[in-house]
Amino acid sequence: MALFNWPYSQSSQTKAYLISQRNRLFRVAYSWCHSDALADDLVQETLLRALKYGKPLRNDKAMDGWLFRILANCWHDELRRRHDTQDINDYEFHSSDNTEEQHYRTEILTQVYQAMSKLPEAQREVVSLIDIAELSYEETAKALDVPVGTVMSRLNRARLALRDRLEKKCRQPAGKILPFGASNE
Amino acid sequence: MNNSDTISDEQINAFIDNELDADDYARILRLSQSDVLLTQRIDERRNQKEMLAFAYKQKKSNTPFTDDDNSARTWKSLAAAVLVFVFGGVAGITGTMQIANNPSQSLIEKIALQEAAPEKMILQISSNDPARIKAALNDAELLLRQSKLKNQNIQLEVIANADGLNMLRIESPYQKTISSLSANHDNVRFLACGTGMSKFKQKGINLTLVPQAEVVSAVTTQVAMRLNQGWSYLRE
Repeated sequence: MALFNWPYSQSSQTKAYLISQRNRLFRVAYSWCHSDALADDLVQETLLRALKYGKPLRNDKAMDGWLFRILANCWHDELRRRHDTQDINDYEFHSSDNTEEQHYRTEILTQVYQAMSKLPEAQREVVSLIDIAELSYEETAKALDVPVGTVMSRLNRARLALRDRLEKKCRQPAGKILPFGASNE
Repeated sequence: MNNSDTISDEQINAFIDNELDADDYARILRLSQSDVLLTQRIDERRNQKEMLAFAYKQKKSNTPFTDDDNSARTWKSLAAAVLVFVFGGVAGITGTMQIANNPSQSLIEKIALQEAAPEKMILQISSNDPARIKAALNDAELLLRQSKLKNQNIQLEVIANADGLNMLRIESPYQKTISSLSANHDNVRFLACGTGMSKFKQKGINLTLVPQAEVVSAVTTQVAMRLNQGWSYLRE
C-alpha cells in the first residue's frame, strides 16, 4: 500500500522508501544521543534533507548508505552546535513493566543503553550503524567518511568495551544512562 | 597453540558480520567445529551483536507523525511541502524553504544566504542553550527593527519545542525581550509546541508560559502549514 499520494509517481518509490526508514533511523539516532526528543529532531532533519536533495532510488542498499550519511552529518552538526554549551543532566531509564519477564527485559535494555552511552562517540557511531542499522563495513565507511580499516578497528574496540561493561553490569544493579552531552568515564 | 589463538577478534567480527569471502568464512567455520574456545568467542560476539540489535529495536520514534490521523496528515503535509520546494511549484505554491542549521551562522546570515529575502519566516528553537537563544532573539529583533525602518511587510513566527520551550517559560530570563518584541512589533508571534508541553507534563513539569506565547498543536503541524503557505523555515 502506498504511504502517500506523492505528486510525482516516478519518485514515489524513493519517497516511500525514505519514510519507511524512519524508525530505523530513529534507533540509530537514539543510540548516538540517548534522547528521544533529539533523536526525533535528527530523524526529521535527515528526512527533510533527504527529500530536499533526493536522488532516484537505485536500490535499497545504495539508499541506505546515503541516508545514514545524512543522519551522521546532522548528528555531527548537532555535536558542533552543542560543543562547550551542553549541560544535560543524567536521566534514568523508566519503565512501568511489572512482570518478571518485563522487568528482566528492562534490565537488559538499561544495561545496553548504559554501556553504549559510555562508548567514545566514534566507536558508538560505527557499532550502531553495523549492529542496529545493519550496514556493511563499506557502507558504514562511506556514511562516516572514514576508511574501511578504521571502521573495523573502531568496531573491535567498541565491541570489546561493550563486552567488558556488560559483563561488569551483570554483577551490578542498573544505574544511570548517560545521555548525549554527559561526560564519558 | 589451538585454532582460537590464530583467529583475531577482527576476523571473528567479520565472520559474524558476513564480511568474509567464501573461502575465509569456510575456514573459520571448519576450525570452529573442532575448537571449543573459538566457538565460544564467536558465540559471545554474536550474542552481544544480537543483544544490541534487540535493545534498540524496542525504540520507536514518538514524533506526532505516527500518533494518530492528525499526525499522519501532518507528515503528509510536511512532506508535500518539501516536495513542492524540491520539485518546483505545484498548483501555484512556491515555497522557499530553507533548512538553515549551520551553527556558525547567525539568523541574519542565514536569511542573507537565501536567493530572495523572505517576507514570511518561521524560526524553530529546540535548544535550551542560552547563547543560541539570546543570539536568535537579538537577530530577530534586528530583523524586525530594520524591516520596520524600511517599511517592509515581514512576518515572523518564533516557535519553541523540546528544550527550547524553556525560553517561553514565565520565569525565563528572556521574558522581557519577548515582551518588548511583542509590544513593539505586531508582526511577530511566539508559539509553543503543544506536543512538547505534553511531554513536559508527563514528566511532572507544568510549564507556565509568558503571556505573549500562543500554544499550537505541534511544531511539525505549524511548520508544515507555513511551508505550504510559502513561508521560509529556519532553525536555530
